[in-house]
Amino acid sequence: MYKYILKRLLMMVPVLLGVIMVIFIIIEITPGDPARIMLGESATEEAVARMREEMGLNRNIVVRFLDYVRGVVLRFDFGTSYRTKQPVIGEIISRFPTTFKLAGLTTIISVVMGISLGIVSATKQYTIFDSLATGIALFGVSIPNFWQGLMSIIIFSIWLRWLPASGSYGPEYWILPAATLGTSASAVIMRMTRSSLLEVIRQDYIRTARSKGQTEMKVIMYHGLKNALIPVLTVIGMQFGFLLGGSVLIESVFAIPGLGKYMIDAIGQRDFPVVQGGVLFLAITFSFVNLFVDILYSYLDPRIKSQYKRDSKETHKKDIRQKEVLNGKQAQ
Amino acid sequence: MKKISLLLVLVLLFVSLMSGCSQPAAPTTAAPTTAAPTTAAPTTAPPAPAKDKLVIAMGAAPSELDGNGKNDSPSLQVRLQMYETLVALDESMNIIPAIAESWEYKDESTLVFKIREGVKFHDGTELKASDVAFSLIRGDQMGYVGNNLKVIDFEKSGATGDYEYTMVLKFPFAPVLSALTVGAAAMVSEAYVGDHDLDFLARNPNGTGPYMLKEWFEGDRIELVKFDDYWEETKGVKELVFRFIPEAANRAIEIEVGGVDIAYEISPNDTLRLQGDPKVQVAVGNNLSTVYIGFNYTKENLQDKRVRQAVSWALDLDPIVEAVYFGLGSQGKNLIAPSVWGYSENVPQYGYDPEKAKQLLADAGYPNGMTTKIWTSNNQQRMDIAEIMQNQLAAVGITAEVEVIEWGNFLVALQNKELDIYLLGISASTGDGDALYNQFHSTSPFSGNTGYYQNAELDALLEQSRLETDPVERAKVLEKVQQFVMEELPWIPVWHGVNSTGLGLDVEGFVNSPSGTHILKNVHFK
Repeated sequence: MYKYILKRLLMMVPVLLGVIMVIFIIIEITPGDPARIMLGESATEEAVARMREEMGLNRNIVVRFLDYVRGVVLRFDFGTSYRTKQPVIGEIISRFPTTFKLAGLTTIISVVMGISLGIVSATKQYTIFDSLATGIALFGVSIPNFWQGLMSIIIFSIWLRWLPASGSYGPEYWILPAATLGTSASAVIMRMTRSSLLEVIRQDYIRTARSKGQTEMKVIMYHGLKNALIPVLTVIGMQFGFLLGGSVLIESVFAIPGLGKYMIDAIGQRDFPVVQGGVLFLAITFSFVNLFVDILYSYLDPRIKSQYKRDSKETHKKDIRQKEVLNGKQAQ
Repeated sequence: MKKISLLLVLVLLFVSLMSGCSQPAAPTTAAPTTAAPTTAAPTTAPPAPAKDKLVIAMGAAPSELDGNGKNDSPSLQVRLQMYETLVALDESMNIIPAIAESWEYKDESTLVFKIREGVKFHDGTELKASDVAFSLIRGDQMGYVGNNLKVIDFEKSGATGDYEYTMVLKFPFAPVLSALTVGAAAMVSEAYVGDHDLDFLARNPNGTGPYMLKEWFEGDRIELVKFDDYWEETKGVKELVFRFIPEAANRAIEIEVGGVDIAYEISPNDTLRLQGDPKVQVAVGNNLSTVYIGFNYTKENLQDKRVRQAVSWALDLDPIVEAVYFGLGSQGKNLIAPSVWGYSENVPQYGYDPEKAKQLLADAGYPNGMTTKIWTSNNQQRMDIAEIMQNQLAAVGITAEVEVIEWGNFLVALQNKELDIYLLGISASTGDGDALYNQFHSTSPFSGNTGYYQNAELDALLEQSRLETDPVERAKVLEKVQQFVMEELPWIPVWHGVNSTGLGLDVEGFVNSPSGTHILKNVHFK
């Protein structure tokens, strides 16, 4: 198991290097001179030249890339914001808890709603409940988040005056953004729960459980749901990862001072180091979320855990067998 | 069952982790003399509007709070509540005393400023003329004031007493007082700056203004508190809270639902909506900006002024102001905005006359019309103007292709003289008609003289406008400049902009500053 985790951690290295390289290239081919863009059309040539020097833009892209990688690896230095001259990592870390909180609340909402609707939909297949739940899910995945956010502000903040429109100063401020993000996330979870549960409840062991006289509730919740949760968990993990980066628009719509709003503001202000650092940070976070989900599988399903073990044992045995064969050949 | 318990434990762990995230950060109140950073996670109590706390929604967070730091508008909107310049501008763009109580010209290139006594910095030390000398040199060296202070001969200028500063200019330069109002030329304490590095100063301001920094919540808001030792009695509230809300629509919503007391930069369509809302006041006032149509003077067909005038006669600006700016602001009449000092109405005007346009084109050697391109960045309003222009020009035989390019590329193309007819905006940052020098003098860089216009007669007039120290005479020279450019039309003015600010019904004392950096020291609740 530990070997597996180590292997996964090592696999992250080329992925993250690739991410840095892609961001570097995208920023490099972005039209315009960042120094000129930063200073505006009224800046003098000297000021632009000084800014280019200050920003290190006169150096070769390969040198800048290597410097950046060295900074990230050795000092966890994600660069310095063009605009505020502050280290990007410091600003990211101060904002990340807000984004994490929003993603967490959304995940809780979407898990509760998604799994509940999924169960209802699967157990009452082809009934009005199923159609209703599927309809809600279809609505949830189809509706664009930012539009839903704006609509909910108009309805709940302007017309009804029930909830604040923007900011993050108390529990009531989180309701609209979390509900907005939760709608699409719960739709995805609901659809996965439904299809996974439908597959599981047709298995022989479910029939056996029923024939033993267990209550339908226990059959579904204990025997069915537990086994149907593996693919659902993958989706939840993916959703959580997406939410860490995908709440970008919603943070802007609701003026929540998280990582997403920070990155959107930076894009508007063409503060490239912030965009670069933000994307890299999200890539790292996403990779860890994925790893965490994979580890969680083994706790949900012992077969997967034994597979990890068997894999490593079998690889070892295979190696020995190969050596024996080779030795045998040599002896002949 | 064991596995489900484990899952439950994980969920609980996650929830507790999140609640951990929501713990209020340790307060990092910023007394300027302390070394503690003034940033905190944005998680504490709500800045709900109270009668002694004014909440303002602005478009972006400041870059920095160093008095001589970056000159961007969000920084100045906050900073100029905490710092003051030697002299200031009132809402009509007249120079008024600030740190300097009075001033007089000893000769045409020597000014003596009497510094106000008893002015204190937020750390309690008193401002002296030596701080003034230090601040101006530092402002110039930091570079964010542009060329505004280059005219000062710093070797010969300096404190000539505790409360007297003598400024010697390299040559007579009439707009020097306006140049001193630039936000990045604010007064800073020599001792305080000497004791700290730039990173610290960017976050820990120490000015002489009516408010001082309380806390800066990264990405969310900045809270200021009234400075008790301010040199003047003010009517302002005890606390100012600047919230950063980038979306204009969200700022409008916040003022509508009472989440903030003041909302800056309301978009034209929201302005119209809020003007119909009885629970909100909307202050609409002129700003210093002008949107214009520029001509690349290096292109042969655009060098003939009859072609430029023909374009102007072919355009009907009324539908542009109505459709693009929802009737707000005013149709462009001149190449500086009406609120800029020196603005004159006595300049040639062009109406909508397609026949005259055709005639001028024929006179210029294009009886069958001409082909050109209209370039704009991907700014929605300018793209809309370009489309309307395209149709109107077609009516007089000018076939214009609209080219929309990203802002970065637009600047590069402008610099490389690749554009033909283009749409841009300009703002006279010091509020003085001297902006015309930067816009049209042949030695001005492309950043000001965007069309590379060259005319020796105009150069001479612009130079004369800088030498004339008598305001009345100077205004006359500036009027001649404006008459000249409106006849020659290196640019066609399209629209003069406005600042639109949403205010709660109980807010009183707000005065629109054309520069957009509204001073809030006398804003209070009814």
